[in-house]
Amino acid sequence: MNRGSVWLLAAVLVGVPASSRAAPFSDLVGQPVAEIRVVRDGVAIQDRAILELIETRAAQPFSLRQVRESVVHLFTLGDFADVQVSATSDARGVVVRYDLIPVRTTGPVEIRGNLGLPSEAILDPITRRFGRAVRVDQIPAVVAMIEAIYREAGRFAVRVNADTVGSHLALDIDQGPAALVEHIDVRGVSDEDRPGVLSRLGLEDGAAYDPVRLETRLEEYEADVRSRRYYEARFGHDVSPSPDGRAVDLVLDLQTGSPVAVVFEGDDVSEARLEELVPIAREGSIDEDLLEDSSLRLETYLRGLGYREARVTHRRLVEVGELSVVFSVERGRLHRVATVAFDGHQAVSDVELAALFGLAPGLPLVMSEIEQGVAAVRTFYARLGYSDTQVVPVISEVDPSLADHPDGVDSEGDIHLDCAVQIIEGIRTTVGAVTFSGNDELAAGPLAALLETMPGVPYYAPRLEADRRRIRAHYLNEGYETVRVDARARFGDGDANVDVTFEVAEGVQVFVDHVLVVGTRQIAPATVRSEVTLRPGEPLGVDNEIETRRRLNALGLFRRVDIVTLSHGSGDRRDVVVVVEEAPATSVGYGGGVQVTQRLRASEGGAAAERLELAPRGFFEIGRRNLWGKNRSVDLFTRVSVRRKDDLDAPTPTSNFGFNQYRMLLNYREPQAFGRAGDLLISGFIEQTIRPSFDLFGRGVNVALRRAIGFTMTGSVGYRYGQNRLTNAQFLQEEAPLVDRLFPTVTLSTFSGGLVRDTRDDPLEPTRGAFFGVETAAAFRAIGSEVGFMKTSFQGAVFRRLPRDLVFAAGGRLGLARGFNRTVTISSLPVLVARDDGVLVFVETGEARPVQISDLPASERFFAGGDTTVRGFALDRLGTGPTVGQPGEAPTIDPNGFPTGGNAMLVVNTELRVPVTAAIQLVGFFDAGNVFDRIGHFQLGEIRGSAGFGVRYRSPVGPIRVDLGFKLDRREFAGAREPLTALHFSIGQAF
Amino acid sequence: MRHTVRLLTVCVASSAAIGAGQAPAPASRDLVDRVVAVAANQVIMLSDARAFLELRLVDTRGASDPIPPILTTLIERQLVLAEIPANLIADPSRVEVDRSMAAVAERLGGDEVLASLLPTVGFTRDDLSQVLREDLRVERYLARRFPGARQPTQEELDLWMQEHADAQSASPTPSIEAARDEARRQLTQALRQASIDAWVATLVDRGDAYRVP
Repeated sequence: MNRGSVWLLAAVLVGVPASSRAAPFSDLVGQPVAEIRVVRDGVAIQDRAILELIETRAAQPFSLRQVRESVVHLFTLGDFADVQVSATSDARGVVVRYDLIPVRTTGPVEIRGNLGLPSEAILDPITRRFGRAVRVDQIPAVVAMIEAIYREAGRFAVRVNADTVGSHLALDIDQGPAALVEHIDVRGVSDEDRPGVLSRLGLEDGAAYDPVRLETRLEEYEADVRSRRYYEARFGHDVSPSPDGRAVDLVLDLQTGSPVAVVFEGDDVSEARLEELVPIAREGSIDEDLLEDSSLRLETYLRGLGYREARVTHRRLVEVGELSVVFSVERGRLHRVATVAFDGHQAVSDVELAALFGLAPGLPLVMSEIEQGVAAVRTFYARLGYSDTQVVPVISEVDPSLADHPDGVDSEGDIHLDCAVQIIEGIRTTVGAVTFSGNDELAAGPLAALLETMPGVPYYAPRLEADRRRIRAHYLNEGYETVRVDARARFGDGDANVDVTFEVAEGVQVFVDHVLVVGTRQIAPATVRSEVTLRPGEPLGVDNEIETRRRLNALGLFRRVDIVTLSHGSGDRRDVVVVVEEAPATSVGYGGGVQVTQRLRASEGGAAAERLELAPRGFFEIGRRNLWGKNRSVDLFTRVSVRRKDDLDAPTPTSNFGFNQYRMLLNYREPQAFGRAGDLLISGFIEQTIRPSFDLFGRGVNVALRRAIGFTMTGSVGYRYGQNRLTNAQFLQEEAPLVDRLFPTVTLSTFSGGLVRDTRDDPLEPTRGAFFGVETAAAFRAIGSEVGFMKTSFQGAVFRRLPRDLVFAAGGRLGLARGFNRTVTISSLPVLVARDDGVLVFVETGEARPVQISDLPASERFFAGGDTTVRGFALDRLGTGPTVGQPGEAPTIDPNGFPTGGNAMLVVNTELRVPVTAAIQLVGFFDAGNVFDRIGHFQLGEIRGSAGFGVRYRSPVGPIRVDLGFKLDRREFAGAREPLTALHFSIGQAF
Repeated sequence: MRHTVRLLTVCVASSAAIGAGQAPAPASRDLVDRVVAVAANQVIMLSDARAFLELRLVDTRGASDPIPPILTTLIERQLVLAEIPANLIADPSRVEVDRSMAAVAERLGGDEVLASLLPTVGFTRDDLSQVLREDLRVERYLARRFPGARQPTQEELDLWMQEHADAQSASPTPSIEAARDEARRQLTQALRQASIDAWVATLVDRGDAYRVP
């Protein structure tokens, strides 16, 4: 260490008076800059992105301030451990040199040696704190962290040697010998009990010291003792290692205290209620706070029942060898409301007051409810401008001459009381003048436009506070980061009016100087910059910062996004440093499971019968993000299910298991395509689906453009071109829509548009918020579709959190569709005839004739029934049978009981979700709905209902769901009565 | 202290290294600036330390090497500033900042001296205003957060008076009661300062600052 140099520099800085102590380069200030050299590792650099950050300019006067700003810009890039600036002069002027000292990193960390711990236990904390590549100057901190990890594991003689090998940081670890327990001091236990305690804790002199195991055993021991009513037990240990770390002295502190008895005296309260309100045994504690809370909870509970004089106290009784906690419960008599009367009010009617107060004769008289009523009335008056309304409830005994129970006590012994509410309205205050002071930079006009408090409106203090916050938010968005806004109300004219002044201390307006992006590797900085709404030269606004953060997170490209603002001397300018950590570019996912659904299958006679089917399934997906430095991505998703498939079209109908249901989807996504018009999504798909009534093979492409509208709304437009092939139709052909017979393979060209508003707090398991969506699709023959139609789907759901963490959910779906008429001349139509053996078969008649079709193909028709629609029914099972209907109405279930689908559908769901444990939820539900062949044939009387219950298990992949639905009315199809229930296993909530 | 000694050594050594490095540089090359610390995400530079020294914004009397205490002050100042909620303490008025500015100028020997000194430390008048404004904010925040200290006990007061007997005899007071009152005032102030120092120490311990080696 060259101390001489230190003193030399110190002498330069300190040894002379301030006025003559200026640094040796100070005489360069103001001289023209002749040359600027920017050097990294001794090599001049030409990187424009770096050179642009240097404020020193050639041919301009040399300025230390520009040097300061440049150093801050360069340092905050995060690529340099230091930026050193030096200067000299020659005949041409000042030569300025910027030396950029790169951050030296070691590359990945390698751990080897005698670890004794899982390598993740060491690597994970290092990665979390220092990242995957450790900076050279942080190696000592890494070593210290490892030593601390081993100390916590009882290894005090650990040796860690750090070395850089190639691009790796090699950490040679020798955990060293385990520290041996040299001496044990046990406190709080008698000498006789000592051996038993040590045995239970697995301790003996000379044994290896394992702090983790010891702490676990101490915790278990303490919990065990507490469960035996020793609620004051405290077990812990302290350790002193020897200097060489090979031995430790242990101090075990085992304080059990006395056993505790919890006693209730006085009036009875049910056991279950006591367990809930006095959780001493559950928490294993008699902490005084817990006892106070328990007494208060009991008292509040009783008063909430109308025992308005209830009193609960507790005390500790110390007896020989035992501590008793005694709760004394004095319930008193039940009080009921006899009458409620209001007096003194003019501005508010009796009816309004009664509704606000919420008390009614005969109900228990609960003081907390009266207090809530008083608060509600006062708030109501305050909104009308009466800021000082007094609401005084007077509880009095019943007037003997008027009451049913002249002594105020009924046959049950309950006391009836009159509640007279005296209201002193006070003066109504209206707002007079609204002015601003201190707003030197922002004009009063635009500020006033933000206000709800304005001349002539009733004065309401919370409204004034909301205005104050709005003004402050406006200033913050204009870059006034230290603004202070106070709202002053000056009452006049006997408080009949009030002049309001917003006093503003603006502070300094801060502007964005530079926007620097740090941490990008694969992703182009320009991609990040395009999301930054903070622009150089513009005010450093809070909303813009939040929006920038939101946009960057929404890209899905980064593990972490930080926005840091840095000042560099100047009071009104800040560098905005956007620090990102990129997420991996390639992601792979796979999984498997079993789908269990109740489905329709043809029985031997051809009639539909419901069966529970198991279908093993698996999926694989691979995605690549950050394509071409931007947030473009490609994802391939494949899913396959092993399912039974009937081949009814074969000469001899067969049925076999195989990979018969599959889906392959290739997605390309480009956010903010076409000049930020929206997110572009192009998909190609091939899929085969086994539905109850038919199999459907489809392939095609989708193009969609989605755009967020505000924070909760999304709009989309799209186009789809594809071909669907219908096979293995289970329904009788004469009952099936003609379009299925004429176009078993149909080409569809469809435009669509949709709007979604989603305010749910969690899309997988919402507890509050709402979801509303509408989507319309139209297919026209003019654009290549073989069939024309238009269809619209509406869906919505609301979620409300109720007391005790219950969630109420209600939703509905409405589907409406109409096919465009098309006349088709066909050479023949098959006709059903009976063969000699009695079996019905179709035969060609050979007659040619024009027919008109106006149905939608099967792939576009609506179906209902199943785990996400009406849960009392098997998948797609809903429909109208042949025995009901309006003139011209066609059934949507064929005579064999197979659904054909329809042009109209309504589904309504309600559900109450009740948490049982942190992971398990019970659900009761009611669903209703049906499918109709035409919109005009929609009948409310045909809506079918089901009710049921289910269980949800909260798993890492979402709630696993089992629902059992019961039909509220059972009907007969194909001569058989529908089963009463339907069972569903699934993942995710039903809606 | 050890950090800063090392820091300055590195500074000097660095400038020497630069002088002797690959790029052609005359021996008279001066280290103009560099990063010396980062506190609460804000960069602290050598020029900051020089500016605080030259403009006499900190009291370094008695320090043989003023840079280490200045650097410590700058780090702690930045950590405290980061603790002040933006909306809690209003910006000082222009009048207050101007008053502080005038005091700085007076300490330096007048406004002209200040004006001539500013460019040599890389500050503008606005920059200095900002520093003074921040100092006033810190002062207000500390006054709000540490409005007073507990009253010392009799034993503490007696001990204090014993330990500071020399100072009391150097500036005698008219009566014993007056001396006790003065001692109580000083001790109360010291207790308050101790509370502030302890709080600042927790900010430093939080590890939100590091010195660049």
